Amino acid sequence: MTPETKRILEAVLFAATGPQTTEQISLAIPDRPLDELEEILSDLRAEYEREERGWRLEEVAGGWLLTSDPALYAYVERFLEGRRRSRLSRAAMETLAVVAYRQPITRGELEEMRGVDCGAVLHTLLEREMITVRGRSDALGRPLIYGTTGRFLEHFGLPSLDALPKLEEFESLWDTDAVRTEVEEEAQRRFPEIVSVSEAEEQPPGDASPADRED
Amino acid sequence: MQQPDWSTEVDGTQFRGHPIALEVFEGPLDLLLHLVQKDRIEIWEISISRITNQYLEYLRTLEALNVEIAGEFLVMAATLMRIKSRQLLPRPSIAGLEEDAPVMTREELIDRLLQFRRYKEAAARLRKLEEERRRRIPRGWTPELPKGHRYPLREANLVDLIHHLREVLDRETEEPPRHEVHVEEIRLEDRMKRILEKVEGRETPIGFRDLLERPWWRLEWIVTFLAILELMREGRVVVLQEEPFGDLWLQPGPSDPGSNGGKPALGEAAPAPHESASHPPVPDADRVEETLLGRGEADGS
Repeated sequence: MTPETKRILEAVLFAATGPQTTEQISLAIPDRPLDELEEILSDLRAEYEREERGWRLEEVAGGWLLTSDPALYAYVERFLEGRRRSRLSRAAMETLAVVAYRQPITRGELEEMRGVDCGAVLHTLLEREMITVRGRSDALGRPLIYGTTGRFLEHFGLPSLDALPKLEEFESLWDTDAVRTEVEEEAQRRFPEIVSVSEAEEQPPGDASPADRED
Repeated sequence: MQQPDWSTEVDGTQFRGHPIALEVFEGPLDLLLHLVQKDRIEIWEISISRITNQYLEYLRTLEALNVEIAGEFLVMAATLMRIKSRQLLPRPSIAGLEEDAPVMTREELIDRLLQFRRYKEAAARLRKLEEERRRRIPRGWTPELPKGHRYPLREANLVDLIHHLREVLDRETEEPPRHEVHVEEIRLEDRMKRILEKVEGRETPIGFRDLLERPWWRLEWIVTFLAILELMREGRVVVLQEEPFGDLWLQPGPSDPGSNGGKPALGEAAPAPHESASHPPVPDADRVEETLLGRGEADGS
């Protein structure tokens, strides 16, 4: 490893605003292969941690970003005199959670899931660049579909969407409607004499079976 | 927990209800979830009857407090009562109704609540990430100024004062911008007269543009066009056009007293007596009229 390259990367990271991808960083030294830069950046991150520097190199939103060490926040906070990074409102957070896990999603689907009008909240999230319009759905009226942005990942310190916390305990209920339709189709294919699953036996409440039942 | 006395006089009715923090619930599902959790039961164990009563009680409280209830809360109230009534009625009697009016079942309500809770939990986890993340200050971060913050005022010195005085004086001595508007009139009758003068006694049709005396004046274009329409109506000129949106060409009409009487009436085939290399071939008058009336388009306008 050349110490020269490492120093250049440090200088670039220092000069940068916001997360920079390895490709963006490589503009400074185009003759170096990307995987080599990637390796040096990883080394840098480990080095800052090992040597307990006051800053950290973070992998966030698909890029690299220098930040202060969160362990030192109490001191930094005093220095900032109340100027804090902003928080999302509760409504914004709950709406954003649905968008994050269900993207791409239309406003209609979002409101169906949340049970409330989401126009104002969507506007706020768009304004704060947490979400963006991804295009239009093929559904009736071709409604706009929304997805999260790089700024969303940065706000929550996520390297990528794969790093979203898993909601595993609910995985079996992930998309109840789709599952129900699937089960119903499967049942009709296998047992054509049964007209509809909804005519099946009543099941005790709490049973995770997604079969359609009538009260 | 000892509840304080919440009874209040509202609209002459004594309100003795459960204390409710207003504006807390993010919609009806949020309220339902709260009611379920307050009862410490699992979502799939909910009793529709019980939760409907609790839900309606909440709405009544809001009403008593004169709080406007959002529409979605009322829709949910109706949905709950419908599920409840379906449970009470014998099933066959409503089987026919269901086909064209699909309603939410208890299971669907439970599904929606479970889903709603899942995303609420997701939001809580994201909130935790946000809190952690706020403790890292990134390079290049520009802090937002806290509420009520004022930019510090700098003391002005003599040079600043002179500089500003100069600016003010410069502004005062500038001639204020002046723009006078002259209203010029252009009369339809005058235009019609001028057009006839120009059209008459010509061997070849005259182009629309050649009729304009002040082509930079938009009003003249409009009035000229109106004048032509009027003259066409009176049959005093015939307007020809080679193609849609093409130039308009005028020649004296059949009823024009100044014309030689040999001109065809509108609707007859256009004459071809003015063949010359300098003007366009004369198209069929029928087509011209159709184009003009059908399209309603003037040349270049």
